[in-house]
Amino acid sequence: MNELEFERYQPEIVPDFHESNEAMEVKEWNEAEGFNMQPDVRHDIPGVEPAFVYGNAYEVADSLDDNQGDNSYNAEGNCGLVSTSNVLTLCGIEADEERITGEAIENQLCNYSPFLPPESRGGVNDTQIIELFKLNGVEATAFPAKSEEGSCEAVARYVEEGHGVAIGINAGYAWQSLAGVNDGSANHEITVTGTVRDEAGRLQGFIVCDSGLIGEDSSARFMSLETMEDAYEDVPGASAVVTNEALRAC
Amino acid sequence: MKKYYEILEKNKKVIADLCGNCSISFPVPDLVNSILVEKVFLYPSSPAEVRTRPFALVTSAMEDGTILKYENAYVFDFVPTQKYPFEEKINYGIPDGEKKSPGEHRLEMELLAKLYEEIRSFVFEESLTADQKELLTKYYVIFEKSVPVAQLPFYDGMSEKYKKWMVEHV
Repeated sequence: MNELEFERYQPEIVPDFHESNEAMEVKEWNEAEGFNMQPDVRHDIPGVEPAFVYGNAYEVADSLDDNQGDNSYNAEGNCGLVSTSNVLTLCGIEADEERITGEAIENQLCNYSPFLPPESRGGVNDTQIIELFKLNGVEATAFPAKSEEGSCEAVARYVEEGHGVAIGINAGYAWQSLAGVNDGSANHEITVTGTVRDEAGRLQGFIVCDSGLIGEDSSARFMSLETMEDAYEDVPGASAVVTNEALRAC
Repeated sequence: MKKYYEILEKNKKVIADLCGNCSISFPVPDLVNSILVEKVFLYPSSPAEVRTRPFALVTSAMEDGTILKYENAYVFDFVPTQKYPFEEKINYGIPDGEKKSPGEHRLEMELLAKLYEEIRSFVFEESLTADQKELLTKYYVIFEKSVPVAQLPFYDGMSEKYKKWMVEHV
């Protein structure tokens, strides 16, 4: 596919499910100020050559938190809170793990008790994530992974349209680690920052920021579509929390 | 005997089914018909400034956490309701006048939780070792200063036996 042909494939920018004038303004601003709807062409994505990455995933990686548990509340199970702070950061709102964890504890929007071991502290469900977004001026909606609106294809569309997206997955399937599988249901939250498509425009995977992993690429890690289906779409209790408006100011 | 945090993890789900999104107090041990139990009160999870007094009491077996009784505060009350009406606002945070940051307060509560896990193994025993007495004293002192005054009648009301036993040994 040459460059001209490639330009024919563009993610569809259509009014979203909660379209508003404000969202359109932000979208226009994003486009004018440089929200990159043009893909980043890369040659380092395993199994996808060349790879077209949407969402400025690599550019925003440095501004995201990919290490959960480094907060003064001894809350180590706060992947959902870190993902919340990452999505807010992508929306241009000053948020970090410390502030969001404190806000969640203060407003009883996470699992917290002094009796709980640190790894059990800070857990959140979708309702709590949505409430935390609301506290920070962002409206969001949760979609079950098994629904059409929560499918991998839908998640890709949200990311490409500039929505902030956090998803609940099974860490064991995502990391190919038996220890993290537990009962096989969703037990970890990550931020989806980019999509990866092949030359024909077929979805091949996602770029995610995973705060539960230690490694140089954990703020911009490639997850193949196959892994995403195993760790997200086929997992009981998995869901996507998506900002209602396209707010990413990357 | 199960650790209290295991019981809490298990019972939180049951309590949430009973009362929706609510908050759970620190546990207080009691002896009911010679069975060791733990009692907690439940209070609203509303924003800090509008949290009202406890509305229910939950009794569970200390051994395995089995919930034995859920009592609405309309049925059982910790303190006379005329003194503490249901709309009474209660401070569930840092005691008034304490110059502590939320972080320092949380660390204190974590220490309290750790001490409580130890106390469960010898609660209501008649004679205590010097180490046990020291631990109990530490717990008592921290508890009295880290729990806001407005909450203390509810803790005392859950188990007079426990309060009496503590005072005897500290």
